[in-house]
Amino acid sequence: MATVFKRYCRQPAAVLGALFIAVLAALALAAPWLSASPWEMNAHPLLLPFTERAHWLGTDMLGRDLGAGLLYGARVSLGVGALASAASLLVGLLVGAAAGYFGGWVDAVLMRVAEFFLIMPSLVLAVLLVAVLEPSTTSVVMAIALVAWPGIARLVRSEFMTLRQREFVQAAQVLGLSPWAIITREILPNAMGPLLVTLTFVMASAILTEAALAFLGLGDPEAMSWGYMINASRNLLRDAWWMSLLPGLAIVLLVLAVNRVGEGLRSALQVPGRTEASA
Amino acid sequence: MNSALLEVEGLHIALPPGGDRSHALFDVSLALQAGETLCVVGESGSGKSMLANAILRLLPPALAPRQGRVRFRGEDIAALDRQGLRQLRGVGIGMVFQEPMSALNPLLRVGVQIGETLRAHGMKRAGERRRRVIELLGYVGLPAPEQLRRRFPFQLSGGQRQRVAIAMALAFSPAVLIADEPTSALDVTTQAQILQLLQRIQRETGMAMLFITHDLALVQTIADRVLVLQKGQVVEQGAAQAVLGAPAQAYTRRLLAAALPAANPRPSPADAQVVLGAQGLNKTYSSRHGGWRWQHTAALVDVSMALRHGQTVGVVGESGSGKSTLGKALVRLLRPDSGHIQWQGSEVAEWPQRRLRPLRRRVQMIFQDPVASLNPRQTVAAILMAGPVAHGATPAQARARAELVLGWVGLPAAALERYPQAFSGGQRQRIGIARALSVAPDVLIADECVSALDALVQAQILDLLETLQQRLGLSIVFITHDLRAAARLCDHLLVMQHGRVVEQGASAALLRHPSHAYTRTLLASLPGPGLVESRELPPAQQEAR
Repeated sequence: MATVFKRYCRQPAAVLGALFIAVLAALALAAPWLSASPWEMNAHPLLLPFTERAHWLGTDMLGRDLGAGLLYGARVSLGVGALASAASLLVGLLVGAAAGYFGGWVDAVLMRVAEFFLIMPSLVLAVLLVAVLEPSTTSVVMAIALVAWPGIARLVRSEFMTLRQREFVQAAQVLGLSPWAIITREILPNAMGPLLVTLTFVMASAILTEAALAFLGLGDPEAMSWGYMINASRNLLRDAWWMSLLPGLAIVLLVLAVNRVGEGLRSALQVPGRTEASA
Repeated sequence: MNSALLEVEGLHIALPPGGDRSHALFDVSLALQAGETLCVVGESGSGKSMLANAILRLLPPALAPRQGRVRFRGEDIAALDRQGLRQLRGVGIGMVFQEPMSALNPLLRVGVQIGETLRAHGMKRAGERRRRVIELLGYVGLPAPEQLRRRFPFQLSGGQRQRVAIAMALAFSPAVLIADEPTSALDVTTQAQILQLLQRIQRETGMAMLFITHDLALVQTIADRVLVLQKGQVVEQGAAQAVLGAPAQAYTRRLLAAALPAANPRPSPADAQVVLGAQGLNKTYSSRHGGWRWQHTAALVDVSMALRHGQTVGVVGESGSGKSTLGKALVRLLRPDSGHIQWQGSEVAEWPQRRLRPLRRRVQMIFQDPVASLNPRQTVAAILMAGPVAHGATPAQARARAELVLGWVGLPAAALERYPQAFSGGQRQRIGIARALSVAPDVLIADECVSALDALVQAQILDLLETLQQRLGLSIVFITHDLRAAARLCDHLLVMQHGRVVEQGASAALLRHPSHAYTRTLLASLPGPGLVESRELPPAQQEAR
């Protein structure tokens, strides 16, 4: 594992991405101590950034501090991203493992179900679900997980199908190990690399989907989020460009950072080629 | 020595620091005359392939020779410019690689590939190229060259692909052909054909050949002179008869002993109890071929066998003969379409996996690839303890068992905490054997368990299997394509072809008087001295065993 860490650290972009996420997460956690509520209307409306020290990122048309909005919005983006990818990992892992290991009709049934979700345009499906369930953080997480799990399931399935044919897995079967032991001890540790990498990409798209839902007014009405902030600024695009630019930048940077982390993990986890001379 | 076609003088190639030795090649010298065959012999990692690549200047700049010189027709190849190098490769010296599938471009028809070489060296007219391609393909003994040149590599068999690769190397009738393990990926009968082809070409063109191999039996068949490499250094060099007949160095003697094991017929315990039996096994694989057509391949056709307590039954055959399918069916990694399998008398052919599990510890398997058969994410301790724990041992008991079996296969207890990647191929295969023994089986099924290993290591593993068999009273099914290894270890032999058992019997009698034509072909294809002579032991000695 030490070498994986070392290979990761050799990629500046990936390290920078991880740092960005770590700092943002720390700021998001500390938001209640760093600033007042983002809903508080206690300043001049439409303050340009860097004009007033107390509200250095400016304010929106109702006099709400944009810096506070960004901090609290990070809580939503990161929280929803993490929860949704964890939930889709759980479902995708269970379904993919069962389909890939047992094959046959189990595989056929589970994959048809997964394909049903894959053929629906994912954003439309998510919008529909949140609208039906009424907007809240839970329903947003559920909606995102529901559209994201089939991708993970398919990946896990293909990994399991190849690893299942490997000799060490067959050896475990010949030793009389139970399917559970074979899956958890023999196959899963070897599938972890690609899975981790995909998970980061799922997280990036979860963050984007959450922002899109909030922009459409389907976010949790209690929580300030970046998508909501962009939505609020929509009519003032020409008068207050910073209102949409700042949360937009935040989304871009976070998604970029998560992607860089994924890319970094991908090359760090690659099994180095066999070095033995094949003479 | 001025007449030598190819000369290597005191060649040193340094390895990057941190490797297991400082030099890939250390002070290697050789000379190759027109029309002769020089065999370079050595284990993997001895630097044989490095030597071939150095002669063609195919090595990366980091591995440029530190000292020494390679001269072709008296000209130092280090001094050649790009144009001269291209002339050297392909026109002066041709090369044939080990794996014909990866040496050929899978997306180009073979005729186009050979034509490309011709065009690169200045044959501009398409008609002329086509004639030459057809001529070459016919020359290397391929049937219907006019049609064959339109095929893709994957449509050809392994032997045909290697013939195409040879045709490509011969495109400009090179003065020297370097063949790097050209037959080790091939079946024994195909190997014999390719060797005959190379010898015929050499006779007809007077070409010199540098033949790289690890197989001393093969060296005996084709070499005029032999050069033995060990860890990058020349151990011994000389006329084939001298080196092989009276080797001066201990290393060469060990290689020879490993390559040509003494046959070892043992009295078959005919009355012992049958521990593993199979009757009338059938298995057909189906795959979709093209759009709607299904192609059925019969991997097992009415196969029966019996393994008695303490016996070793060999299953021999070429690739595609169904011998691995038989092994998998016997351990019930796959379910036969029909037929019966008994483990210690229990009829298990139809049992579901869940019901098999408690019985599984009795029949264990040793796999072919020592790299793929060990989980890279588990320590040796975890690998060896999994089996006993699955059959109800406490972790402490399993740990004790792991230490015990590791001792049996000759590895120190310190190995337990390390990962498989830290071990060599032979050591990994020992771990694989230890894993099989960890659950105290009665029957071992060894599927090509030494074919991925060097000759010396092969001999050690075979010795180990034999010792363990005597000590633990094991019964073994030994699946192999290597008739020598089978003759060395087995009491009873099954010869398989196209999924059928074409002949079976006590190995001594079967090898001395093969009755089926296919068995005779297999025996005749073996390079080196025949098995039959080497097993002419005095009757008294045979009894004593």
